[in-house]
Amino acid sequence: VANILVYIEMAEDRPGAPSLEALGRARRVASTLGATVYAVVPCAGAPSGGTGTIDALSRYGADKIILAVGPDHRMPSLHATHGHALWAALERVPAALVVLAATPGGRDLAPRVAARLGAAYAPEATLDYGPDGELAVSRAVYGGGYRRTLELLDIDRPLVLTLQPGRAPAVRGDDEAEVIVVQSGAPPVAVEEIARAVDPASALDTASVVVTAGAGLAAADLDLVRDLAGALGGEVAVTRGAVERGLGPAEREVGASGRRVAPRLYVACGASGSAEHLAGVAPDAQIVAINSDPAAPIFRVASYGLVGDFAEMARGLIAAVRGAQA
Amino acid sequence: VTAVVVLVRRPRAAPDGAAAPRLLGRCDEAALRAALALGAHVAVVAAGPAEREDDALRLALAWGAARALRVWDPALEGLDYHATAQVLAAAARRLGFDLVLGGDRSDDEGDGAVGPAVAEALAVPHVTSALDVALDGAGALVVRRDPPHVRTLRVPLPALVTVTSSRASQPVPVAGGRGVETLDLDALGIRAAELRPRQQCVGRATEAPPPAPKLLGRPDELYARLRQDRLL
Repeated sequence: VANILVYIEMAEDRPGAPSLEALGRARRVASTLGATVYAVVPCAGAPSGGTGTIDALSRYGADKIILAVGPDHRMPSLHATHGHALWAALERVPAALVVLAATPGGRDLAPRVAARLGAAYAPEATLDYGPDGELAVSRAVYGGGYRRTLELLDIDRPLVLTLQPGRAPAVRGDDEAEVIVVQSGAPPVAVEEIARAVDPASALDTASVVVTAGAGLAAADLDLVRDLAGALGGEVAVTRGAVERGLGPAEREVGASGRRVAPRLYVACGASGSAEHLAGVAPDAQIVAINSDPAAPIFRVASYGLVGDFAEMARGLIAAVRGAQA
Repeated sequence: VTAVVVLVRRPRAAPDGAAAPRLLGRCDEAALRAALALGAHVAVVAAGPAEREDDALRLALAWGAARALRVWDPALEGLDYHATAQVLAAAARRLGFDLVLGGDRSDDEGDGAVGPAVAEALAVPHVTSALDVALDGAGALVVRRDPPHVRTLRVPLPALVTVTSSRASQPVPVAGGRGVETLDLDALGIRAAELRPRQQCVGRATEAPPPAPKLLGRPDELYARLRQDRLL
């Protein structure tokens, strides 16, 4: 691995936090691989955010920064709007490893880049050293019951990764990175934004505690789910099965067909623990399962469990939290 | 408007398990419902053996799809996202399309790579993770979450959109109509050797050690434990 290329998604003229974290993680492995880390920043004309962007990327460990200059990068980050900027950078600097943050934009760009490169692709992965010091990419599949692992040295083609935003400590690079400017031109097709509304459930994206109602609950239990979330300072979510039973709004659905959440603590109430549901929960979330069925698959991935009637357990838990706060 | 729905993957219970808990993945089902709700001429494509795919394709026909096409060759068993995409793209090209819809990701592996790889093979723009899709003149209107916003984007056709959900409800199945058509790789001009599944790129799935849940008898014990472990 000679070159690692990290795509930087900009958020209001600053490098987004998930991208900086991905950059830091690339830095950590680059040092042992002896690889050069390139940060690719799409920008219009001068680097957006001025020298602040260059400083931040240097600090997070970029050796070199590629400014991909195009006419308009203000659209949401998608392959259709930003892919050409990444391609312009990849033409200048062929990379063995391409890293993106697993944001909605990263998940749109990365697989297409992998397809065009004929690369291996690992989404929402972690990049870590194994027991013998070998560098491996792994990710949870089948609802967290299995991990799929790919050893870097085993593959003879490029690898494209998206890294799950998490709580990795920032890495401090030392020197000012060298800046390279490439012209990316305009996107080949014109995607237009027709409308934009505030997502009423966007608090789920950053919540550190999420309390989820599963299909095993009754409508009468929902007030308790809200109270429990309130007591824990968390946000309420629902599973697909619960949405189908009318227990909650689709915009709060967590799962493969809904949102992805990355809380510290994930409280699953009356949820069986299907692979489809757990695909929406970041692998490093600590799962608390409250379920009346001790054989429910959710207990295979839960770190903590309460077996019993939900209403009784929830009332007890709320009382314990409030008692401690009083 | 002609829409082709590509079925990304039938979910499996475990990596080596043949048992499929559902005929269609959640996202594939949403893509199919969305396509049928557009009022388009809908053709559905799957890559896989009859015993795995035909039930889903027959369901698509019963829901109102005009055609259902299955492509398979035993040499493709275990194929990766790239090979799956080459097969689905060749079938879509053969059928002709204005819009290709597909599931955003499979329920089990959740790669989310097949749709964008099909778009790459077809050389059309793509947008992933649509919450809803509509047609608007020569474009597709795609509703998509982009924190903290929900945006509506217009993408010029031809294009590919991957779908996570659809407001359209499940159609009432109607019996009869056409059967599932099959094609082999020769008919699509694909050489199996070029698509050799690249296990090396997929990696090994091993059972993750369960975290040995700390089952607690009472809610107050759970609370104390979460405090102790600094999770609260």
